[in-house]
Amino acid sequence: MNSICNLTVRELKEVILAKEISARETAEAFLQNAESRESEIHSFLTLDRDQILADADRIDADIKQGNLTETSCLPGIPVAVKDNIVTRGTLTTCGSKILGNWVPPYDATVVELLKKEGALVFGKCNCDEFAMGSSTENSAFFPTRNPRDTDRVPGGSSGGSAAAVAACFSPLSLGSDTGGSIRQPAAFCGVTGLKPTYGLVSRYGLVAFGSSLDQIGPLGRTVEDTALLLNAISGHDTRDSTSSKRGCEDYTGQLDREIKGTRIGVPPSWFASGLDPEIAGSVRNALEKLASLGCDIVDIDLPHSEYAIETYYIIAPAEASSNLARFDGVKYGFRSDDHDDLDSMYRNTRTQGFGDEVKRRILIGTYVLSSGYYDAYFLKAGKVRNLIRRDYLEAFKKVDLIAGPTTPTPPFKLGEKTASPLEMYLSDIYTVGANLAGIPAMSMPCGKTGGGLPIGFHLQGPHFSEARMLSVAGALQKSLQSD
Amino acid sequence: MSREEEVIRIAKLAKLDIEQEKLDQVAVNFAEILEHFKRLGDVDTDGVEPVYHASPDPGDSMSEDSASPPSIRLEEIVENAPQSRDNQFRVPKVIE
Repeated sequence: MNSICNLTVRELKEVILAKEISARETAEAFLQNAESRESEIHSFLTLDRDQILADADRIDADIKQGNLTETSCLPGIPVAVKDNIVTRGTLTTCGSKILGNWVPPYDATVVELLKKEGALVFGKCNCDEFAMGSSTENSAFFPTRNPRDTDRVPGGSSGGSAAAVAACFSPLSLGSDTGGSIRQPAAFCGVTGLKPTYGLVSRYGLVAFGSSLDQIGPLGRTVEDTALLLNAISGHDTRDSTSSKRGCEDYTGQLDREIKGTRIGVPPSWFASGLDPEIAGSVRNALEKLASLGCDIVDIDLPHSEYAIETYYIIAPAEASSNLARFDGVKYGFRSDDHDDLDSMYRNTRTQGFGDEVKRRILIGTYVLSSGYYDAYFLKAGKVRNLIRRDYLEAFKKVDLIAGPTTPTPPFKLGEKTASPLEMYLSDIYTVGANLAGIPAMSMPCGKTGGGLPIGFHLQGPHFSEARMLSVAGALQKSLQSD
Repeated sequence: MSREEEVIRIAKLAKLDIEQEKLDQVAVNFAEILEHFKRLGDVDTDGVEPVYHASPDPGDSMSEDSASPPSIRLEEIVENAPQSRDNQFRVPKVIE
């Protein structure tokens, strides 16, 4: 592998701005890497070498002319983008046949920001169809494989984004997280991934799945790399009415901050039955490291977290069933040729265009919103969501952050869980709570199983506590690396 | 109503057809998931208001009363339509 690919994002930025290497050379190094192994991993739905190199040349010209400087977040740095984030002029399929030919006429706000900050949009990453899944096996095109063990899934739904970073095809990537879709694949692939506070990053141009839950977030090989990408994409956007006006900060600014005295809450119930013992051991080891760095590890109770899966799998499909009503074969994407009238055109387009999991969630969502069932399911879930949110707010009166495992199991094998949708849903047990409450959360590597599979350490914090969370993650990363 | 009939009824509302050969399996999975949801019945939610958003400060995110940025050109939007004419979307005939 070209040594350029081993540099951290900060190092890359320094050598690119010093003109020791060009954005084109950087792009070529990562392209070479991707092309050598992509046929095995399948992390990209679109990887257009000519387009990437042309964009890299434009970035080099901007650096030469002084338009990109030290104040730019990511000059010349490749960032792979999940395929449910729209990119002007580049195919955006959401991993679905129904958008198989869609070329958006606009850029998502995060893509505009990446370009403004000098980043190089580096291909579109495979994902579960419309981000619905935990293994990337629900992509209508092909499954992605885990670079750490290609018999296993990379997680999902941002499996392509996590695999691309883990395999060093790109130093950074963007994913989206509705119930764990950044953090679970980050854990499975041994990289770092962060779901920001709801509203910190604009959702304009993110194809909607569950609008009250969706957030775009960064994935990187290190905590600092991840923070640098968060710096580039966060901030208020008038085109997203749920975008926060609080403003963002420099998320690398507290990475060297003293973490002594940080109170970290751990719910003991998360270590009860159902958690893989090797993961439990590795997470406990990470907690001991944090204790040795001066953190106070405190038992806490999140009494309603055991209902988070049911709550999430009512609310997310309900929102999805509404959001996905727009795919009707009229305005964009696939239209079935097989129809007699408008109604059969709608039905056949949707039946042929959507995959099984998307249809299942539309059915669940339609059911829980339908007359006679609304109160028992959707209204009830809304109330339990409030209790889950209150639990977090109560807990954060006592502790600064909450820690635990990201996933109950290590990455599973392809095909292992496809027969049982419910079993697949249960793999999101530790991650969905953060989406329901709108709080930030991240996963970082904390060890490996005896078989060498990555294990993820999950941190959650109060709204807008990203900088503090990253400082603890940075200290833990340093401590784990020194072993 | 059998669970298969229930699935067909819901699919119709969602403008979907469930292929006959998949109907049994879809109905089994659907019933299994709904059964799991029943656990929520154990939670005491008396007096609890539902929440449908995750905004930390919902009052902060009202849209501003200001002009929108320039929009996308109509031609570019219609270009993606499966069928169009005169910059308008074409659909099968609705009125006889």
